Amino acid sequence: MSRGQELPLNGARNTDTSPSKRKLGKRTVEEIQASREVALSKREAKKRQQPDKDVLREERERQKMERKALAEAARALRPEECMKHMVVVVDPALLQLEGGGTLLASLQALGCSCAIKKQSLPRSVSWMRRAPCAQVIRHMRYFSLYLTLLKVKHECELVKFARHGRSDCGSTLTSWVQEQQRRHLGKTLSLAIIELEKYFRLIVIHVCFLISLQAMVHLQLHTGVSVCFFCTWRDFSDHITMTTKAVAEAPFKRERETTGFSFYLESEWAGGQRVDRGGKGLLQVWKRQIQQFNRVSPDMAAAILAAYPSPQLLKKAYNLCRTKQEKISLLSDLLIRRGEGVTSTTRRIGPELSRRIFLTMSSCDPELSLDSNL
Amino acid sequence: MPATEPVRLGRKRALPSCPNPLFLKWLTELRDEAKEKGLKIQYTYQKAINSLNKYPLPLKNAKEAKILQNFGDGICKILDEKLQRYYRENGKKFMEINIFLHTNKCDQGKDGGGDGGRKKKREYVPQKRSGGYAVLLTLYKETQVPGSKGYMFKMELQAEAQHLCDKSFSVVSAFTLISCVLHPSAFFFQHSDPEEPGDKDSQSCKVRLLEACQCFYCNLTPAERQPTVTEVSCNVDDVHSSGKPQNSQTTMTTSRKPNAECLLPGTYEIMLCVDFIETTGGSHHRKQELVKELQRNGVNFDIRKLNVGDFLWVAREKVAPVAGQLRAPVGRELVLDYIVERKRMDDLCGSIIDGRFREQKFRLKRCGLHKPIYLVEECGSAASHLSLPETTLQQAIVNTQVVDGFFVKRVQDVRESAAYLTIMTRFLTKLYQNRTLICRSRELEGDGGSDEEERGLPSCSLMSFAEFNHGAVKNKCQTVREVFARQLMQISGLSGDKAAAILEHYSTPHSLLTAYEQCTSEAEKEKLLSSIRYGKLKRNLGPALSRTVYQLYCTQGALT
Repeated sequence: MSRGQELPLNGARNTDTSPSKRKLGKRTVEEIQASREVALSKREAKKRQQPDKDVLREERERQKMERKALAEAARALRPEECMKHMVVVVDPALLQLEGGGTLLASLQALGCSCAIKKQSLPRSVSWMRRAPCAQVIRHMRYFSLYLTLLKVKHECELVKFARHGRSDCGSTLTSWVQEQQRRHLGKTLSLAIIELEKYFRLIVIHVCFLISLQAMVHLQLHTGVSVCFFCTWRDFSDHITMTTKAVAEAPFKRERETTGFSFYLESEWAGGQRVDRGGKGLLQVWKRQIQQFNRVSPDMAAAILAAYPSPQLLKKAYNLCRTKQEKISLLSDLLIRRGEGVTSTTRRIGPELSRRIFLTMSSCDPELSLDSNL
Repeated sequence: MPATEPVRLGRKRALPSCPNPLFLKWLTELRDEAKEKGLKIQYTYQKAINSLNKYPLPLKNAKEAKILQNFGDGICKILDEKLQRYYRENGKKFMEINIFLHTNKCDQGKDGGGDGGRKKKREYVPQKRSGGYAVLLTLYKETQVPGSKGYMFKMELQAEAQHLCDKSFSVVSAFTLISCVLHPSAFFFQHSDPEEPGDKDSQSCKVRLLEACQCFYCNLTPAERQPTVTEVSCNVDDVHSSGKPQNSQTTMTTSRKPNAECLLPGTYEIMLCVDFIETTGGSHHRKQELVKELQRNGVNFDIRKLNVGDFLWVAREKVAPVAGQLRAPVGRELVLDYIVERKRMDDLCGSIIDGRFREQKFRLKRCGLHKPIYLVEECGSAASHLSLPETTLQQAIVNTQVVDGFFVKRVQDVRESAAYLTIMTRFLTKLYQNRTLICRSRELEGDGGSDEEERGLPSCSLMSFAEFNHGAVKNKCQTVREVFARQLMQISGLSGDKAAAILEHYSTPHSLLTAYEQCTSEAEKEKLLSSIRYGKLKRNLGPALSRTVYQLYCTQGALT
């Protein structure tokens, strides 16, 4: 109800009810109505958009959290962090043996968690990795390795096991291992043998040794499982801790190696040349870049560097050439100084390297093979 | 013979003057049959023949032929049936093809220029049954096969071309000839009289063959491309000088099996290969001791240069010596999946310090064999005077097993190493006793899936030793991309994944330099790479690294 309409009931007012007179400084009924409607429709439009905005905001939040989780997961794989998230699961039967205490102490010193749980594979140790946050489970690979202890007193027992099978399970070593592999699909198995009778090994009972070697080769070829011998519980514990460390760092190291490149940057070049903000060090980088070609010695690189101490200078020189042939052979007559004084020699860079460098700097085809003879 | 009369080979067929000789032949036969019977359908067939003659490309099958005018469902169905029967009967053999090798005198005028007039340079025309002849012919046949990829790999070519050549097909010699024939007017294959002007079909044949040659050439390794002068048995004079084509009518019937060479059980033996470096040098003669032990154990072994690894096993074909020859012919050799890297503790120590340790493992992982073995000789007390602590070495060995997935075999000394290799050889021999082996080419078929095989069953699809050893060469031919990546990684902080990310945007130095040139300001150049995302986490490369690369490639004067 606009203000104008109320007035006729009270004749005392001297305001005029005609709409045209109300315009001065004040809005008309219609205008007020219109502006209210506009405001209402705007509010409603906003309300309608709000769920979209909400959705958008939620989506952004979700993405942010996912990125954060991914970053956390990546951090958890780094060598300095990964041990905290490792869980070493030990079968209680293993701990009941003489060396159990040593084993536990070594593991606890590592900084990882230990769990004592009965394993489906007797006397075994297995490894698991805790995901730092549940969201990224799908990005992590659980690495499971089993190392089981074969309790044998000395090699002759192993021999017997290998040939005739254990009395309790009636199968040979290989078939027993194969059975275990079937039961634990997807896991990597490894065998450990602790020999308390150390002197047997030193004497090398030839026949015994040969047979056990045969048993192990047979095992290798049919199952891919390796066997380790340990003389003491200390050695065994050390092996378990080393394995723990390897398992912990494995994903990080493997990730590092998947560059997608088919070459391996040799240690000579690994690490790179440090360059400061002003660009100092770049000359050395350029020299190293020249040495990335096959069959380029430091002397050859130095010769090219001396003539063209930057990629731009080389590029300019190419631009000054008139023909392609000139460009191809631009560097071939550069002299290489090798050695000092009487034994110094001078050779040229040669047309072959000159050509390879030109091709690399000028080609638009990344797959162009540099050693082509065309 | 009259210029218009096609050449007959004594059997009634249409001259294959088009790239679809089989279809043409059959249509012509159908037409003639209908004509004899006085049926009107002869005109339908004739129309189809006319269409086919105008079409310059090979048709893969009858279904494709539908695109041509006058090829309806009926004709295509008949052709398809005939094609299937043909393949069944001939195992995809080829019908006779006329190959004309020509001195190219007439061709020049038609090519409209080129080198114009008389060519001073001698064209290369291979002698019949020579290596180059066999190679060219095989490539040509390949381009004629329906559905072919239009070129061949070296291994395929070698397999297919051998029977066309009189001398033993040495890999390098014959292939080098290809480099001579890439000149556009060196030769051409044609089916009809070369006097006929503007023969579009022979041109297209020529183009296809040249493309096949070029693609083939690109797939050769640099060593193979080195021209060796000896094999060019170029008898241009044999091809008469009158200008008329020489009829080189050769029957070429080969069954095209995809490299299905196999070694049947009993026809091969398992042999240990010892890298010759393992047998020489060393002041203690310990390396020679290994060989002596192997000999004492009666192991079947051979010393040769291995480009990767110290020991491996090959299945070698047993070939009987030929009477009158000093050396027995060499049988085929396939390499088994096992490869051994032997490391004494002092070697291990040294290789960790100088960085070879990781590089060797990298190469072993990529060599194409799926079962690498690390044979570690722990020399007991000798470990005390090494440069690295024992725990470091032991950790490295454990890492090799857990992280790299190698099989680790620990032994005490060189005699145990020899014993291990001996037993492995004996067991492998036994394992492969009754197995048929198939030669697989890594180049053609990629790496076999080792996960497919159960751990127990030995792999029977094996690479040839030649291909394996060749592929494992250390300083392989580089590509522009590879060199550029390595160059970028020379900057500290620019790791492999960052380089890979940059290469996604700028795959060559030229591409990057051009991008810099196209920037409108120095500031823009400086920031060019900073928002490139790299790695699993898609992080930004950052302004600092972007700036360093900018400084490297855009500094006008000398660098410091």
